[in-house]
Amino acid sequence: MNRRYTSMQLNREDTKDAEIRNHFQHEGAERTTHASSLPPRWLFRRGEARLVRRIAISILTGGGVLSLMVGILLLGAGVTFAQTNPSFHPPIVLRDADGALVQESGAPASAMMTCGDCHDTAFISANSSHADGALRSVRQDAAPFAASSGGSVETNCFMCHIAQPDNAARLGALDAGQPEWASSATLRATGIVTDADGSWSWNAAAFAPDGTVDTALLAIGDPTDANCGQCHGTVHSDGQMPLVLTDGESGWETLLRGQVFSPQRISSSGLSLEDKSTLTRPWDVHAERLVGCTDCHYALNNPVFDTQPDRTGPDHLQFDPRRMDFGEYLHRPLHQFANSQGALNSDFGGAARSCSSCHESVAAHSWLPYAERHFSATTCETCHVPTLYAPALESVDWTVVHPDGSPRMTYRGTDDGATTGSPDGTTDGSSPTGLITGFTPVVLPRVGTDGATRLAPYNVISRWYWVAGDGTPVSEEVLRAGWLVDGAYAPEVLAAFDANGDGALSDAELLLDTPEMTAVIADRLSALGVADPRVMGDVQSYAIHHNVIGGEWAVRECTTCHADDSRMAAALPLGTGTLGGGELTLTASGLPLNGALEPDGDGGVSYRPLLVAAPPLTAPVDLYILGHNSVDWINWLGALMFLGVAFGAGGHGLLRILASRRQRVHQPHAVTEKVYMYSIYERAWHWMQTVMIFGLLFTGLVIHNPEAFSMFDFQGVVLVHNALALVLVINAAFALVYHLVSGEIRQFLPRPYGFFDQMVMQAKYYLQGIFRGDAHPFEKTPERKMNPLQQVTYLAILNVLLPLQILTGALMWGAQRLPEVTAQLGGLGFLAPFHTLIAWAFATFIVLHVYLTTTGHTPVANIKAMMMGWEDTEPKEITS
Amino acid sequence: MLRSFKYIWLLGLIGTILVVAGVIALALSPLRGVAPDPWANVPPERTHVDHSDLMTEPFETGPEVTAACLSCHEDAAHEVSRTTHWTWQSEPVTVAWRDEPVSTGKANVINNFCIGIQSNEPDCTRCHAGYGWGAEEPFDFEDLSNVDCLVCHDQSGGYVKAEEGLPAEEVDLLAAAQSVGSPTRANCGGCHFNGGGGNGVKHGDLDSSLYFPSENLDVHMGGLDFQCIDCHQTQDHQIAGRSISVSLDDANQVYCTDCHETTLHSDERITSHVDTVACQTCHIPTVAVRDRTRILWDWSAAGDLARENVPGQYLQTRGEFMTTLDYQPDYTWYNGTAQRYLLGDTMDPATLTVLDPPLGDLDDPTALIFPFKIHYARQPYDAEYNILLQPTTAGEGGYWTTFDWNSALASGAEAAGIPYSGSYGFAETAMYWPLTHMVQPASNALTCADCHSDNGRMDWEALGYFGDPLVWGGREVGR
Repeated sequence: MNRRYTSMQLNREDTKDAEIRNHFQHEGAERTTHASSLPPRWLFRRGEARLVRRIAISILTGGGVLSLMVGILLLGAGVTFAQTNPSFHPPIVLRDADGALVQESGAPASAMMTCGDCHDTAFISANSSHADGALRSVRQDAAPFAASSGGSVETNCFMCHIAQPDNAARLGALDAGQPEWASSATLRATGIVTDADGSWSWNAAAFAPDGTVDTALLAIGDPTDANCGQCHGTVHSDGQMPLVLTDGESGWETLLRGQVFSPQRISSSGLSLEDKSTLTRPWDVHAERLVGCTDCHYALNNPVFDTQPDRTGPDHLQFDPRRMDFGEYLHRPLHQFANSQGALNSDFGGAARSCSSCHESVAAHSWLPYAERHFSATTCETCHVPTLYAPALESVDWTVVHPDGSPRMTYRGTDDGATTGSPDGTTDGSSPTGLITGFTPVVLPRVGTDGATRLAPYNVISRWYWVAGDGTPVSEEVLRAGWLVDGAYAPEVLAAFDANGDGALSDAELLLDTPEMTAVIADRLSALGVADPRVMGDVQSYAIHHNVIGGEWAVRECTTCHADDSRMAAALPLGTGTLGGGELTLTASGLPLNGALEPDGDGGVSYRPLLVAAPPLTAPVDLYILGHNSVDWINWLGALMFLGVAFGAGGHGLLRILASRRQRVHQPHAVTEKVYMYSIYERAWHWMQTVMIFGLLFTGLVIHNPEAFSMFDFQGVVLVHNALALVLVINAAFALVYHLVSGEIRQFLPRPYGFFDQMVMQAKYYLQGIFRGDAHPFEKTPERKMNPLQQVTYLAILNVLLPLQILTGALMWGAQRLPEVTAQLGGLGFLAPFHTLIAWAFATFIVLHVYLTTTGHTPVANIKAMMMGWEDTEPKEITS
Repeated sequence: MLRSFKYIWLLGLIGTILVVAGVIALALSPLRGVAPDPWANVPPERTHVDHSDLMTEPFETGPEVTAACLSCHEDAAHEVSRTTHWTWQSEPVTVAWRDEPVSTGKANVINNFCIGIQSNEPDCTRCHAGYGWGAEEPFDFEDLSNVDCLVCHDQSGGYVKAEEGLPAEEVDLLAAAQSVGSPTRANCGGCHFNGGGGNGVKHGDLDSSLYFPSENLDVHMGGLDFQCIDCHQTQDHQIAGRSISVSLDDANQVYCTDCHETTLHSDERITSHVDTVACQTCHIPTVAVRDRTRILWDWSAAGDLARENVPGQYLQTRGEFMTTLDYQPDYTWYNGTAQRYLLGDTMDPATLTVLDPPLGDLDDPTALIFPFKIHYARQPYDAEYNILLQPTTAGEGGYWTTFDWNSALASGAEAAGIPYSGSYGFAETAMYWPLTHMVQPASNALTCADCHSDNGRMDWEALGYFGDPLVWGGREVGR
C-alpha cells in the first residue's frame, strides 16, 4: 500500500502524463509570453475555448507552488511547444530595394530583394498569374471599365506567404500614395514595422543581433486558404467562430458567385439564413475534408503534384524518376497555378485539376442509372453545387453611382435582394440585409479541359453602363463627375431623382426610371465631353466551381432535371434594374452564354438557358432530357392514332351488337369442335409478352411525363423499364427460335398466291359479313391460326415496329456505353421521340388486337383459347 | 394430362407474376439499403401497475413504505442490498496497479469536489438509496427495512430526501407510494444531475437540462424520449453502467455498440476511425450545452470571510469556483478503466495529482480516444505525510461551520482512518469525467477539420502520434 503516487509516476510513461505536464507548461508559457509584447503564434492555434480556460486557470491558480513549479519546469526542461505545423523556413533578413538591411537603412522592404536572396524572384515575378495582385485591387464589381491601377509596384511575396498579412495596411499604403511601402505595410500585423500617420518605421526589437527576424514573428510558409481568401473570397477556417460576411470584405468569389470556402456547417454560421437549422452541410466539402486552395491550385512545377502527363517514352517505363527536385523547385517555383487561366497550363498538359483528377466519378455513382451519360452531359458541379448560400450579385447598375462612387447593386439569394446600400456613402453596399434564401445557379454549357462541352453551373449578372456614341464605356472618373460634385450629388441630379425630397437618394430612387432622368445624366455627360451618351447593358456569366457538397446533399432527385420544370432550363432573374432606354445584350466575355432574355412580367428580365445549340457557342449542345423534352407533333399524332382506333373499334363493336340483336334468328353454327389451338409454350410466351408490353407502356409513360406520376420514383421506373425491356427481348428471341425450330413460323408467313384477294375478303368480312353473322372467311386451325390481315399486321409489327422499338430503346440505353453510335443515329433528340411514336403505335395495336379477339366464334372464344389452349371452332365443312 | 388441366391458366399467371416480380426486384435492388435496427436492443415500454389502490394506509416513515412494498415484492430489498446504490462500495476488484484486490465506492474514495463522505455522512447520504446512514450509530447495511424504494420509483415528483437520506418532512409519503412506477430521468437525475452539490457540477454531460431535453441536446433522451433505464438496463435492481470516479472495472458497462453497429457509417473514411476513436468523441462535440458545469474548485481560497459570496464563483465555505458553458472535451486514450487514488496513498504536492487517470495509450489495442471533462482543484493534503486529506465539512464541527481547517482535517482523518500530522497545504488535483451523455444528432457530429487541422481539437503529440495521423499515419495495433 501507500505507494508514492504522483502524476509524474503514474503507471506508465505515457501520453496522459505528457498532456498534464503540457497543460501546466502551457500555462507557464502563457504567463511568460503575456509579459512580453510579442506573443508566439502557436498560442492562437489552439481551440479558443480551451485557451480561455487555460488562461483562466493559470490566472486563478497562479501563485505559490504552481508558479514555482512552472518556473522550474521551464528552466529545467526547456519548453517544447507542441507546434502542429512548424515553419521550416529559416529566419530571413529584410532588405530594401538596394539590398541593404531595412533596420539600418530605414527604407521600405523589397520582397524582390528580400526573397531574392534564395529564390529567383525575377523568374517568379515573370511567371506569376498574380502580378496584378500587388496593385490596388482587382475589380470586384463586374465593372465595364478596367481596374484603375494603383501605380506600379513589385510582386508582394508577403501577402501569400506569411501567416498574418495585413492587407488593410497594404491597401492603406497604396491609397496614401506610398506604393513603395506596400510590401512592408503587409508586415504591419507582425509588429516588425509600425505606422504613425503614414510615417513607417522598423521596430528595432524585432530584429535579432544577426539582423534576422525571428520566425515566431514572421512565419513564412505555403499559402494558406486564408492567404488566398484575402482577395479571392470569403475563407473561414475557424471551426468555432460563426462565419459572418463582413461588408466590403467578402471578396469577389463570394460577391460574383456566392462562393464561400469554409469547413463550417452552414447551420453554425452567423448568417441570417432561411431554414438554417436544417443546413447541417458544410459550406464546402473540400474545406471540410481539409483539401485547401493550393491542393488543387498548385504551382505547376511543384514536384509533389507532378502527374507525369503523356510524355514520350517507352511503354515499359511506368515511372520517370528524373524530375525536378525540391531545391530546384524552391529556387524557381512557377507562380502559374493549376486551373488558372495561365498560359503555361497547356505546357503542363493535364496538369490542371478537375474533379476527375481525384475522383473516379463512375465508381462513385453506382446508384445512378446512365452514369456515363450523365457525366458526358453535365459537369460534377451541376449536381454537387446545388445551391449557394451566400448572396451573389444579380445586377450591377453603373448608370448610377452612390456618393462614394460605387454602383447600385442587387443580389440574388436573399428575400429582398436589397443591399445595405450606401446612400450616405459609408458602406460599399456589398452585403445584403435581407434573409438569405440561397440561390440555384443557372446551367450553361462549358467547354472543359478535355475539350468536351458539358453543362455547368453559373451565376449570371446583368450590368448597365453608359457608353459614348461609338460604344466605348464612359470612364469611371467621367461618370462620377456626371453625378457628383465634391462627393455629393449635383443639385440638378438631386432635383431629378429625389422623389421624397429628403436631400438624399435611396436605392429605390437611384434608378433611371424615366427618359427625363436619363436625359439629365446624358446632358451632364455630354457637357463633360462624352459624345452622344446612351445606356448599354450586357449579361456576364461567372462559372461556379466551389461550395461543392458530397452526395448526401447533392442533387439526387431525378425529377430535378427530368421534369417539365427542369433545372436545366430554369430561368435566373437578372434584376429589375433600369432599362434607361438602353438595351440588354448577351455577351460571353470568353465564357459561353447560351440562352435567351425574357421579361419576367415584373418589370425585370430573366435569363433562360437554351438546351440547343446557339451562337456564340461553337460546340453544339443538343440535349434531349427524358421527362422534360418532348416533341409535340409526335404526342398529338400518337394520341390521334390511339384514340382513332379506340373509337373505331368501339363503333365497330357497337354496330356488331346492334346487328346481332337484329338478326337473332340467324344462329351461329350450332356445331362446334374443340380444337387444341395454342400450345402451352405459345400461351406462356404470349402472356409474358403481354405483361411486359403493358409494363413497358406504363413505365414509358411515367418516364415521358413524370409530373403526372409523381408517386412513382423516377429512377426506379427507369430501372424497371430497362429490365422489362430486357425480358421482352429475351422472350421474343426465345419465341423466334421456337417458331423457327418448330416450323410454326409458317403461321406468320402469308401465302403469296391470292394473298391480296384474301386480304380483301377478310376486310370485307369485318366490314360487312360480321354484321350479318357470316362465317369467318378463313377457318382457324392449329395449323393456320391467322387470317391474311393478321398475317400482314404481325409481319409489320414483328419485322418493323418491334425491331425499331428495340433498336431505338437499345440505342437510348446505349447513349451511355456507345455514345458515338447513338450520336451517329441522331442522338437522343431523334431516338427518344421516335421511341415514343412507336410506343403509341404499340398501344394502338393493342387496342385493335384486343378488340379483334372478340370476333371469334363467341366474343371470348379467342381469349379463352389463348388462356386454356382449347378453342371452339366452326366445323370444317362450312368453310369455303 | 397438362393439355386438359383446368387450372393451367393459374399456373401461367403465377409464373408470369413471379417472373415480373423477380425482374422488378432485381432491377430495383441497387436502390435498397439494409440498415440494422438499433431498436432491437431497446426494451419495450412496460406499463406499470397503478398502485393507488394498493397503497392505502397512511405512512409515517420511509421504512413503513418499504415494508408495504416488500409485502408483495419480497426479494426487492435483498436485490437492492447487493447493489452499489446501497453499499456505495464495490466488491473487491483485482487491478494491475495494486498488489491486492481493491474495493472502492463513494463510501471510501475521495474526489476533488466535496472530497469525501466519511464523517460527512448525514449530508452526503441524502443521495443514498436508504434511510438513516449518518445517524449516531453505525449504519447497518444488513437491515433491509431501511432500503429506500421511493427515491427511484416515486412518480409523484414530490419525494425529496433530507439528511441521512430520510424523507423530508413535507413529503406526502402516501401520494409518493401510490405513484410508483419505473424509474424515469427525474428519479435518476435527482441525484445524478446534481452530483458535486448542485446542478451539473460534476459530470458536465448530466444536468437538469435533461429533464426536458431537446433533440439537439441529447438525441436519445430528447429526440426519442429515452429514459435512463432504456440504456442502463436493469436486472434484479442491478443497473448497468459505471464511471471511473468510483468504479475500477468495466464489467456491466453500457456501450453505444449495444444497439448500434460500428459499421453504420456509409463513408469508409469514418468507419476507419472506429478502431481508434470512441463514438462519443465525434458525437458529443460539447457538453454543458444548456447548464454550466464546474471545471475548477479552489479550496485554498475558502474561509476568506471578508470576501463576498457569489454563487458559482466564490463561497466562503467552499472557496473559489470556475464554471463553463459548452465545454469542449479534452481527449485521451481510454480502455474503459482508470487507476484510482485511494485514501492514504502518497502523492507529490509539487505536481498535479490525477485522482482517476484513465488507462490506455496509443499501443493499447483496447484503448480508444475518448472525451473527458477534466475538473481541476486545489484541495488539502498533509504537508508532512504527503497524502491527500479528507476534511469534515458538514455538520456541527465541520469546516463549513468552524472555518478551521485544522480541526476539520483532524476529524476527517480520524473518521477515514488516515494519519494527520497537523500541518496541511493545498495541492493541485485533477479528475477525469468520461463524457457519454448529451449525444447530439449526427448532423452536429465532429467533422474532419475539427481534429485534422491546424487548430484542431487533438493534441496529436500528447496522444503519442508523431503528428496528425491523417498525414503521418495512424496506429497499427489490433489489426
